[in-house]
Amino acid sequence: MTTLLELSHVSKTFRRSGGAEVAAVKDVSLAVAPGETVALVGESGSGKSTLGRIALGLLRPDTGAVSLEGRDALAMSESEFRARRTLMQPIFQDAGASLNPRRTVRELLAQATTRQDALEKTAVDLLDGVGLRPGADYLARYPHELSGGQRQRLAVARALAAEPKLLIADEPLSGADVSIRGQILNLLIDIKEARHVAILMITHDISIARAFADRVAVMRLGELVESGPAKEVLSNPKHAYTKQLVAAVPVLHPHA
Amino acid sequence: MATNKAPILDIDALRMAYHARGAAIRALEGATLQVGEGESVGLVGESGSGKSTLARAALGLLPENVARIESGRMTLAGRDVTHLSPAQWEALRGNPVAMVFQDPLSFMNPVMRVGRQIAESVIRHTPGLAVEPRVRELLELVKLPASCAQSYPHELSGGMRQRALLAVALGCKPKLLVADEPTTALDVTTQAEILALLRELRRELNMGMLLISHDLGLVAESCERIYVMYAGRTIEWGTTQQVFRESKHPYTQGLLEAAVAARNAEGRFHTIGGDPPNLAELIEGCPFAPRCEQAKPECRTRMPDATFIATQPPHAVRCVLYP
Repeated sequence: MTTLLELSHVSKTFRRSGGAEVAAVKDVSLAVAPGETVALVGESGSGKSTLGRIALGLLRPDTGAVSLEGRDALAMSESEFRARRTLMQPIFQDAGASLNPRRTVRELLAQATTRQDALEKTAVDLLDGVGLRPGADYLARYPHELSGGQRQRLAVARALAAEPKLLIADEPLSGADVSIRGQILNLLIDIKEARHVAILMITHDISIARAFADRVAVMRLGELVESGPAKEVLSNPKHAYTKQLVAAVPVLHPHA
Repeated sequence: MATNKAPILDIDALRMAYHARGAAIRALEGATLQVGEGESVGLVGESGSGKSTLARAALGLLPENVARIESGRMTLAGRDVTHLSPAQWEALRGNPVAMVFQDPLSFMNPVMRVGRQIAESVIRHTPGLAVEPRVRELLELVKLPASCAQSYPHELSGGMRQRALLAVALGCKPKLLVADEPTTALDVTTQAEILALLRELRRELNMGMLLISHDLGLVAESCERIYVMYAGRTIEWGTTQQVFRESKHPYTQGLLEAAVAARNAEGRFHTIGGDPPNLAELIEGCPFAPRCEQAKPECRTRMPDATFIATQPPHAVRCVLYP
């Protein structure tokens, strides 16, 4: 099985205005296979979002290689990269802020889809698919007319409109309430199963990473400290930092 | 009586609405809460449940021009504070009640050294005391190096800033500390340190604490008693054991299942269907009824008063399933 996305020995250093250098990502290698769910966990400043931006092609690494379906993404021409970029779609933390407030749901989806021939039907199918049912009722609405949970669903629908093979979700649940969180996670599980889409979820939430992902990669201060099957790594961590991270999470035992 | 210890804060059936542009948001519709002396109490609920509004009410920080308390009663250290003026509140803030919030940067003066800010709170509440030693003592109490007194807030990390803000609050010797999402902006490892510090300080100073959080695990680990809010109403309360292990209200039960972040036999995450209600609309009956799997026809018309499932210690629930 060829990998969908492969980052090998990627490094990125930012320079501050004073001249100080911050090594945000140091020699990190990470691969995502088709249909696989990978969680990238770490605390703030660990470099997980920087790595996500490198994966999306929003940032160019200083050293290292990025390949998309086996092809060198860094060597691609602008036009080829643009064409290939639809393979990956981002979902951000604040769905409200990533949706143009002056566009209706119909317009937001039309911009993202490649199926310009059957726009209306595609849009309705996408909305139905993310649980905004009946989809036709939502087409004329604006983002502010939706609740927070509905906006996050719309953001997922828009990401799917490009028919990606990989969703890169950066903290997609941080703004969501506990009772809504499960709805979004179940939606991502449905999509993964129905469309065989791979998901790279960037999160600080260890318990979600454990329950949601097939594999997990733990980052600290720009370095990858531990990776492997999610349940194994997060239930029986080997690295001292992962142990500390797992132990720090407040635990709820309602039925204990 | 919801607690054996004398209550520092006692809020009974408080109803409050925000009035703006001709509309009313019914933020609190029967909120009840008590914090005893030296007791740690958790207040949980989702966004819009009214938990922060209730905390602000307890601090006299409701925006005076738009917030109107319509009924109910609130006492602080035995004094009725339901309808105090801003000037009267000013005398109570810091001592008996002090606060820490989610974002310490917005509550600290960015151009004043940390030591000065702590000193101000000391001078204000215990004039005549030797300030310098007391500032050093407070920094030590929150486990910050003495050199932090010379720092500006932006020079400190998030966790250190929260400690510094805590030192400012403790400088007032409060009987009650209201902490609204004090660790939400922090990483989990820093959060664990701050929570351990709060626990230690509370015991050392016999200070009551009202901890507001959306994180049920955090509250379970830090508090002796819990109140659960939904749509401006306190819907269940009792000891942490009672509320989290013997929860009665379908909302509390759903919230706990959703919070565990585990998948069931079908590989699904637990969730509560639907969305929380819009508080600008008039809600008849139980606000949770439209999302409740156990709802009965009468739930749409009637929100029952609290029923006590247990009295020693008290465990109360507002739901027709427990008549």
